Amino acid sequence: MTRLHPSASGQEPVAVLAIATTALRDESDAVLDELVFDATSQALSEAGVRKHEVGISITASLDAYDGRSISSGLTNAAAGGYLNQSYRVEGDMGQAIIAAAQAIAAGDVELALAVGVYNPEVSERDPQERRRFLQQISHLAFEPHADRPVGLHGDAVLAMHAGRRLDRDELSLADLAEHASAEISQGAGRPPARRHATSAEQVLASPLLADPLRELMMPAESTGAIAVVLSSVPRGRRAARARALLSGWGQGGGGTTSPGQWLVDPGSSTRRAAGEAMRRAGIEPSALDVVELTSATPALHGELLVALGATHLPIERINPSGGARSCWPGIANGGLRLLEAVTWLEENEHRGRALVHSADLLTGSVVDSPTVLALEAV
Amino acid sequence: MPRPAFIAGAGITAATSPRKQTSSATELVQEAVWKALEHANASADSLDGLVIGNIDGFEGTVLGAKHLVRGLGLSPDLPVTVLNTGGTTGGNLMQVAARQVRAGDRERVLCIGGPTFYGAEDLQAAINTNSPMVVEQPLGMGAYHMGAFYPSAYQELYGTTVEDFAVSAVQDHAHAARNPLAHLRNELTIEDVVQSRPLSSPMTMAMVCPVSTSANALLITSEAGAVSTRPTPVLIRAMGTSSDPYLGGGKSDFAFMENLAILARRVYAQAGITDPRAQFDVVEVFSPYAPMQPMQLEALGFAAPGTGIELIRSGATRIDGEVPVNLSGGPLCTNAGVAGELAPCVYVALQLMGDAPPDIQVDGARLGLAHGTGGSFFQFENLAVLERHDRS
Repeated sequence: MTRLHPSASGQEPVAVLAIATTALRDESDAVLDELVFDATSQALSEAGVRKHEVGISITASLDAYDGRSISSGLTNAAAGGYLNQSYRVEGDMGQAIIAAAQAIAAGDVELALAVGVYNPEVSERDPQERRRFLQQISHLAFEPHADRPVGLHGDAVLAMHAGRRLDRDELSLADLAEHASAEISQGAGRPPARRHATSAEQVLASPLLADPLRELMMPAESTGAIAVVLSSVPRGRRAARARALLSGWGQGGGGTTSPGQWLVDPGSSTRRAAGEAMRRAGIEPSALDVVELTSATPALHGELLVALGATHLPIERINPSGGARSCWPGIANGGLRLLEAVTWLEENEHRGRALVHSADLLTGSVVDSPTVLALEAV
Repeated sequence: MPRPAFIAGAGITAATSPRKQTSSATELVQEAVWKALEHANASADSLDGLVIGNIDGFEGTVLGAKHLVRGLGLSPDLPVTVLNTGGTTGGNLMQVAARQVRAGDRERVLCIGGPTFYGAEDLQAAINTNSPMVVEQPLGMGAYHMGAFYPSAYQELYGTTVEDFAVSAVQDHAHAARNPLAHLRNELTIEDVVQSRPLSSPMTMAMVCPVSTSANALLITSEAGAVSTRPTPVLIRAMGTSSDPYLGGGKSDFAFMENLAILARRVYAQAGITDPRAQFDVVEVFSPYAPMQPMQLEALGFAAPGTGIELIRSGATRIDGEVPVNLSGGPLCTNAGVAGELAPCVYVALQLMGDAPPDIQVDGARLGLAHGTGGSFFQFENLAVLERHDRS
């Protein structure tokens, strides 16, 4: 019995029973359905739930990374979808977590699974080749008539945004390097971290990706799968263990390249998502104790923090995990950010509230689809 | 507490082949979206969410829906959920939108079905990449090869002939001839179907869906969101999905659609359906290959195993029959990818609202069934029971 006692301010919270990840590696030597099965079976085991009890399974993945059309056909049974309700969202795993929570809040199921998998079909033997492959996929996701002819991809968009902030003297290159160094060093040594502690000088000395962005300013790419088991609160009270309450959730949407929102106000879609999440949770930003956000570059960090209403938090409570610059498992990122925030709440004597922000970075901050989750410790 | 979700408006464009299409994908989708809003008498700024689908590899753009949805003249910051489950993407759009409403997160969500097949030059080659890698991919199998497993097994069990399988093709074309929005509107005879080019035994070309372009949209609302809309709302009374493994060997018998039958039992129980043949007034099933339709009708409880073809032959599934099926002409006459998969929900909703094209409208239709299927070896199924909800 978990004795869940959600605060009265929220609307239909959902219990987070378990979160499991495969090893998050530079390149996973397993095929997609093996990764999905590994994470799913671990999460079900941790939750003390049997597969047939799960009412719906929602996967987040992207065909283009997976190297096959309708890739969820391959992974669906491994995600608990056999003779069960299931579907796949193409986007960050935060979208799948919200869809699973909505299935519970809608009264359709008591237990739901959200799974994210990311293991692009390219070898890491040549890092430059891998980067070009990912940039090409990103390029193909841009609008074909105006954006593709000028060669846009996500890294270029992010670099233009960072460059604009430098040109306007809102930030300096040293600021970007120091921020990246601080986050990487903060996360170093933790289990999923992909990078060792580093200095601002080392950040600046890392390969130039798209001026002014250096490699160590970007998310630390990793691969693998993550699974989350959610339940209704009554069902969660009968579970062996609950790790947190998902008290609110929200989605945002960003515009295309031409209106320029991605350049001048890239936090606007996150602002909307955060507003929805906090309204559902019945809380104000001042109630937050920690925030786990996904800023694709240090230049975006401040604008996203403002959008989340979390500027009042001390620096050690903003991405205590090191954030995406410590570990970023692609499409599965929403699951990792959730895990990091839940872990912080547990280590904080099971007290406090957290906000979790994630987005797929396929097209940078253009047509982005951020999600925000509001968590309550149990 | 969970709330009910309704369909409050629907829009659909006329269909044609990609070669003859004069509108761009964006223009087609725009037309469908604005038709749906106009049908519902809802303004674009009353929307609070969008659900759209795409099938990567079948289209010329990765995650094409993300950009397409921003070119429609709708509010640029609306949250968007993008789905891709192959042939069930369309039907799943409605289910996801309904859950967003029923969870209390949204009041008015627009589901958008786009014309998926603009970009692929060789669709069967694209479809081949979702099939199992050990045998099916190297053999070059595409969707209709996988579809042919079903009638082959059915033939083996029941001794069915190619002429028998032609029955549903003839009927779907007869229905499409009355639907001004359908792509193929030519009537066929049994002989036409049997004599057309063999594709994958026992299926001939006339038993296989065309590649179409069209678009459609559905407005899903809460009860409050439907108060000021124009048509009689349609309650989403029950819905669900079910999945087989992606290996064909995961099915115990291709002659019987067990996964669909299991789903039907679950959804019917939610909706209180005990006698589908007597209770449903209109049915749209996703049968892109003609022989699938009688088998689907069996799995859905409209006919006993082995008698689906007799059901169609009896006239019971015609517009004046006991349970009209695929009055739109179904995917056999119009298959525009995601739009084709959303079409069963769109046509059933229009029927229940009394707003279907006049020559296919079933008088007094109150309860309908919408079905979708897709994925490798048609592993995914979805179903929705829709009900006319007269305003008090």
